[in-house]
Amino acid sequence: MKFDYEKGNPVFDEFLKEVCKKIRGRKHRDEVREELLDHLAENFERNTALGMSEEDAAAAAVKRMGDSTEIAEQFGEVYSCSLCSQTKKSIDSLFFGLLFTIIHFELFPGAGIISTAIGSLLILRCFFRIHKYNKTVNTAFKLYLALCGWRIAAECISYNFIFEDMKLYIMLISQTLSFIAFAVLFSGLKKKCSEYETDTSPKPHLLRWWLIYSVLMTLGALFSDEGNSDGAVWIYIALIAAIVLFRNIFKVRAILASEDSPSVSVRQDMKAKEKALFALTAALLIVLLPLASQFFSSVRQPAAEPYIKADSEYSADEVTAVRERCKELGLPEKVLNDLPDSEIMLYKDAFFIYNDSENGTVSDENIKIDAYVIRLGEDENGRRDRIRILYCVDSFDGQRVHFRDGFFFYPQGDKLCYFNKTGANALNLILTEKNGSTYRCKPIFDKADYSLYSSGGCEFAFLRASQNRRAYFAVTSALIYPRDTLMNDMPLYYHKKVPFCLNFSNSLEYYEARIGDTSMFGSVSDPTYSRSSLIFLFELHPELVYDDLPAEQNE
Amino acid sequence: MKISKELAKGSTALLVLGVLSKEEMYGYQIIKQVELKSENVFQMNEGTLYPILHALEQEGYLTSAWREAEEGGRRRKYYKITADGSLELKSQRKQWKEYETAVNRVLNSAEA
Repeated sequence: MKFDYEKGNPVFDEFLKEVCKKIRGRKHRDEVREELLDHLAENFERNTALGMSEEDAAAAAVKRMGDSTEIAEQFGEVYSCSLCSQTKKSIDSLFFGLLFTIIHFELFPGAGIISTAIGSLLILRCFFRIHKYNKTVNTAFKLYLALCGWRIAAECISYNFIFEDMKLYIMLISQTLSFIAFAVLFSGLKKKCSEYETDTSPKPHLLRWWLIYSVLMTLGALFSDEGNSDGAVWIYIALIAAIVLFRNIFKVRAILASEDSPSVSVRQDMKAKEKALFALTAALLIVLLPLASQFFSSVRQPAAEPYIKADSEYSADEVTAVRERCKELGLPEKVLNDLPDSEIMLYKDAFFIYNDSENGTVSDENIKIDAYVIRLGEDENGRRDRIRILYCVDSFDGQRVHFRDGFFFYPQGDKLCYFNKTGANALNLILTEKNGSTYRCKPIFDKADYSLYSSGGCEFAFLRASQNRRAYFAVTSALIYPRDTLMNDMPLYYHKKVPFCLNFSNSLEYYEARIGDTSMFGSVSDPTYSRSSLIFLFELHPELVYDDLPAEQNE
Repeated sequence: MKISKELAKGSTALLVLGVLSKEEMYGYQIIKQVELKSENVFQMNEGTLYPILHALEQEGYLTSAWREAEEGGRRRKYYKITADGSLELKSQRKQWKEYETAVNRVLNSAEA
């Protein structure tokens, strides 16, 4: 006799209710019920075929199942909430991982990459625990592993070797992979949540907010490309979207891990093999990502081609004209004579000299050279370094300059040296004072002397120890415009000829780095500039000391 | 002969993995197969099989899929061994062999 599923059986119902009472999660309860009912029905049909009455057949079927309390206990162990804390830890890891990778705490140069590494590690920790949730989460896990591998490869090798010119594309691939991995993860988590959601559960919208966040960040990056601060607005809005995303992550946590809600059904304990894999990835991320890239930078064969080749590229007349122009602008004769032709041509485009101005505006008619002093901040002994600026050359109109807290200006008598934020500024020739002497700072151009690499939105320059040179300070340019091509070929321009026009951005960090007695300088990821910042290192010109220059009047 | 409950308890997972190593099955089939192959030595309380199946699935040793039963649109949950499950079976089988040998050694020496 066929079992009538529509009609059911009160004995079976009673038994199933008892067996399922400790199972958390509606979906799991329903499935176990359905599975066991099928089993009971099969026994019921067999019993009735043997001639038993319906009642006896049902009772015998239930009896064959065994003690309902014992089965309920066993199911309770399988679907208990004892793993809630594990789930909480996993989701917390995801939250902090995202926090670290989204928001870089730029406490020191290089902090960005370390925070990315820590963030990735936390996210991996989460993945290792939850990747068995379902196929979608597992796919996301694989994508994320691929992303980590890609990042390690890109950071350690590609930037410093073969693909230097393809940095932008490498970064784009990273970002695309990251976007896809999280989109897949969030849909997987949503799917998992749907197993437990009740009418009163919060409704997480992870994917939606991830999309919004990503679009806003992309807009931010696009608008920042122009070197202005419009992109920052988008990035700030994106950060708000990130906060909403985080809130939704906590909704997921509430659904999956709350003591009151049904628990997860997937065992999250890591197996030995997984633990080993996790440790390996962790080691790769923590050790390789920040450190190995420096190592690769240092062992890389120095480029043979020096930067300055201007001698052969400009005619003698041109050089003379530039010398005259510099003289006209008021460059002291002694300094001018020390500048080789190759270097003087760097000032070819100098057409603005920013001068003091009482009302804060700059006029190129009021050209006059004074030695201004920029205060960089205090060193560990409370001393202030002074850098005198002879030239502030604007090579290109319309750039915005971010003068951050790193630079202050000394008043010069009743005047104040000042940089117009809406105009363009660039420092070309810098005099510094050190131990009472005035040095000309010499930019370190030669690629053989240092190597650059960029990571996590930061740009790093490392002087090679073998060259025995020390950078006195460094500046970064927010945007570099090649003299002839302007905006074109920016990525390619990177390690080729760098025009000597640059903007300051976040100079404080360089100074901090210098105080730390290190020759590493990092440009911190300014959201508006991170994509195209370059670094220039300056050293003190050993032979060019100008003790006879007038000292500041108001020291 | 029926095996005592305590003795059978530890080996159920091994039996399930062993039975499923050949083909995928649903719960009722697994029980019948175990009974058949053991010539009715293993007659477990049928309900206790399911928590074990679910635990094995969570461990990643089994996967399951709902399929339509032949008659009347009812669904049935079929279990299949995974690669991890096969490895686990291999390892458990080895352990079982060692256990068996050790038990035999002890018993034989007692008899002698």
